[in-house]
Amino acid sequence: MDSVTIPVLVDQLVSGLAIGGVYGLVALGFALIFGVLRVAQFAHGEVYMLVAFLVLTALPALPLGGFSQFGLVLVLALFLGAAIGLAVERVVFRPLMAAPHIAAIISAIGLSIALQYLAAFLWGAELHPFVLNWAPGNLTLGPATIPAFKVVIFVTALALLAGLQLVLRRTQLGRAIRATASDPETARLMGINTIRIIAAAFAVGSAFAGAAGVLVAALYGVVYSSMGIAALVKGYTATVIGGVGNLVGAVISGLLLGVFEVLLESYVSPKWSDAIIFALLIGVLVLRPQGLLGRAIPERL
Amino acid sequence: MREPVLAITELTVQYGGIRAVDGASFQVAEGELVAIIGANGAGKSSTLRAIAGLAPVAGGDILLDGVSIRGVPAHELPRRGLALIPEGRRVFADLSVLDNLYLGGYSRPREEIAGDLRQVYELFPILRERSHQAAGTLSGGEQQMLAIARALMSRPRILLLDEPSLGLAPVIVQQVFSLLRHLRERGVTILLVEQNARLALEAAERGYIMHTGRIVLSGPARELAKNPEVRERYFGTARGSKSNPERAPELTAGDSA
Amino acid sequence: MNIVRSRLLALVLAAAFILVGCDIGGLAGAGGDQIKIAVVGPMSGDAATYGQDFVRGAQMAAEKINAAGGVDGKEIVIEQFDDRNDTTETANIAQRIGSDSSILASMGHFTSSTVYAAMPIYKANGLPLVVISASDPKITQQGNEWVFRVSPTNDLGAQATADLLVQQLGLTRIATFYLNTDFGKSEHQYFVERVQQNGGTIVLDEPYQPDTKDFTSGIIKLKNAGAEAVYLSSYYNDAALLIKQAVASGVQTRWFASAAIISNQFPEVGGEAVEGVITARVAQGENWEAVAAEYRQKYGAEPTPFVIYAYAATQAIAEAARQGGATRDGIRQGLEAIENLDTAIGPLSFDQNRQAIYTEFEFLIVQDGQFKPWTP
Repeated sequence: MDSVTIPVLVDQLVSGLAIGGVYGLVALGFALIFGVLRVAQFAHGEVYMLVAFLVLTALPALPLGGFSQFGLVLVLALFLGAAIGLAVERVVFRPLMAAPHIAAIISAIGLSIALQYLAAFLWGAELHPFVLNWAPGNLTLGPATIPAFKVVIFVTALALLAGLQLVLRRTQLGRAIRATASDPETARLMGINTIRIIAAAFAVGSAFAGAAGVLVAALYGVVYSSMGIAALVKGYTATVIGGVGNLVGAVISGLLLGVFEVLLESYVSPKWSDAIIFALLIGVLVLRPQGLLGRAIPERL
Repeated sequence: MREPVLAITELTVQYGGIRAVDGASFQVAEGELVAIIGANGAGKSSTLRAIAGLAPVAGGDILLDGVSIRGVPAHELPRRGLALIPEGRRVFADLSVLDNLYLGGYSRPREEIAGDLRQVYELFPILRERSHQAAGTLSGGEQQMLAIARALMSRPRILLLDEPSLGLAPVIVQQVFSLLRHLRERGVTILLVEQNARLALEAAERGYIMHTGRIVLSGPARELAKNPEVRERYFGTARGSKSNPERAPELTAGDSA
Repeated sequence: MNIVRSRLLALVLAAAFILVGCDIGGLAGAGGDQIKIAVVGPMSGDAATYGQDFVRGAQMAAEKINAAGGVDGKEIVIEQFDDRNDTTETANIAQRIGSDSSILASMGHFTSSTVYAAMPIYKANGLPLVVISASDPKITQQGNEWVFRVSPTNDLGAQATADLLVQQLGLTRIATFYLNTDFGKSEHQYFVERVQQNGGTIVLDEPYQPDTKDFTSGIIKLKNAGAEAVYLSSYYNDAALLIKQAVASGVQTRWFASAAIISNQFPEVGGEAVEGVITARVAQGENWEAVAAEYRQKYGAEPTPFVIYAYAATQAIAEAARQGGATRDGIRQGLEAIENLDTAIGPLSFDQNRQAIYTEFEFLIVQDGQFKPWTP
């Protein structure tokens, strides 16, 4: 087997944390929406994909260089994600609010497929290169040299997650979201318009999916119409492992999943890494539906 | 008699084919503490839920300060001065005590919340001590205090309480009722729904007795408390003796309203 | 029940009628003034464009030959068959072609799997098959004297690149990535064997799954493998992404890849990172270019290599009929005798296994977003 050295391990951990941060963002958005709606937004990955495509289309119109382009792209992705999330909530989920959950779940799956076809129709089913005008080069971390962009992704993901935590804990909107997730009827008695809060959760959760979409597009250098599936699967896995509704758990398990995946691919086999992760997902669903971190962190939202 | 804060006329609440409230009428005047007593399933909770916008109103009207609030969505009502403390307290268990209180003030202007919070903490010093604790970790009595404090954060014109004694130890129930009396003395208008008729009538100024969705008896609380039929059916008189709420008392006492 | 039965009867009758009709058509052609060649491939489904290019290439060659008087006055006729790129359907179609006595030769079946399914049937019917795309080297090593191949095998480019790396460029520490499929594994194996024969060392041997978009773990290994060059047994999308991500991670090395990366998509997806990537393919001389130009003019699109191979196969069959006689066995013998025939792929000769001999390789390099000829 390959020898493990410190530089290799550092590189693997940083890479794992970068992609794990992205998984965390997807998982957090998914968990946030699930928290207030109690329905899995299975088209969450397509929000991520659509934002990546829209930003790709807008890139030529953003002729800024360097970091300011990255910043602008990120802000644009957040806004586009929020807008798409609001539209999805309004068109697909709100009309089905009174219907059995299964109706909304099936609609979400249908929407997921429809959006993939739409993207393939609008932009083509092939891979589309995604290149930012900004290449931050490499960082030297002790004996290891790692791509700085991975650190940027990790830091960006953490900053967004911390920002959301701040909103959730310190603002009335955040408290209203948590109250709606905890007990929607009593939330209404507090004067909270829970329908608006659900829409707000869609906007915030989808904004995070949008940010994750452009980060991944920039990391892998490519955008394609089926990219949302992998994102949803990983985000969903992180959500389940973290304990559904446990936002901090979703983030932590997203990060762990990213690192675990890189280590599996490196030391077991790329062939088996997805299979092992799915086995873990199924194992958790069957044996510990409250999630691996469900008890460690009691606060759910 | 003072201007009613809340006036209910011919209220009917229907769930599918089941009529939970069947033409109930009553009023609560400013500064009053009014109790509705009745057996389990008499329609008391449905009445409160209908007033708070949580249950469907099939007929009749609900006036808050003379303005109909029938059909107004539940989340609009705190802004209009109505606060319901639901049965089972329903504190947000995962959220901190402080967050629960902030949510109570959700309908209030942001800049006034801090001041309200100070006042509520004066009234409930225990909550200040526990402010960063998750609400679900409080004892039942503390949770009931929090639920009341949370409702007070919206500075309500009228406070509706649904079975505040439910599931609490007798000592704690005493504390809750002395708190309610205290609130009444401070001028808070309260409508209380309670199975514990003795305590409710002790605390209240006026009372209504509800049976199978109808108000069957009403009057000053002290008179109702003396009514032998009320005593027999709802007081469970002495320890161990069984009340018999299944039969309605005859409409005898004059309605003082 | 009755309705079902009568429908079934109608179906059977219809099928019989069609078969009889075919036979009548076949009889009319047999021994007449035609040389009928079957072109078989995926004519429907995902791979239909390849089948279409088979037919177009064969058709273009037939028109040219017929315009010049045909084969001793006989007209070349192309008849297309759809094997749907499916092994079961391939067996049926090969049997139909084999039992149609008007057909004197066949070409096609797109993949190695379908060729393997068809080979014994052609042998049993005594009908020559010319393979024009399937690239598994072992197809012509089965001792089936009815199977010829004009297209190159996948070992050739890999071996040519291995020779280039170790012998000409002196790059001996080589990392490899390969797509974990039959194609990738066999191409990779030929490359590795030749590198080792040449005295080089494989410092990284990294498979990846189809549809991989994240090459992180492999790239980290590559960064620390001390490779002087990397060889990819990949298709264009994965190769472009892998190189792009490696370059973004600070990998500095020389990149080489299988001819399967040759596509406009490769520089499109890879962008600047793939500038300088080198691949080997069989040399495409003047004749190749002439057929490609004709195709472009006729169909307004870039031809796949299969157009040229189908074209060459048609030329070879025509010449074989001229030399060996317009019968199935005559064509087989004629093909065996072919020596330096001037075809679309250049001078065509078969080795003792009936595999076209390719000696000329050309290297291409990505420059300014295009594949351009390169000499070491």
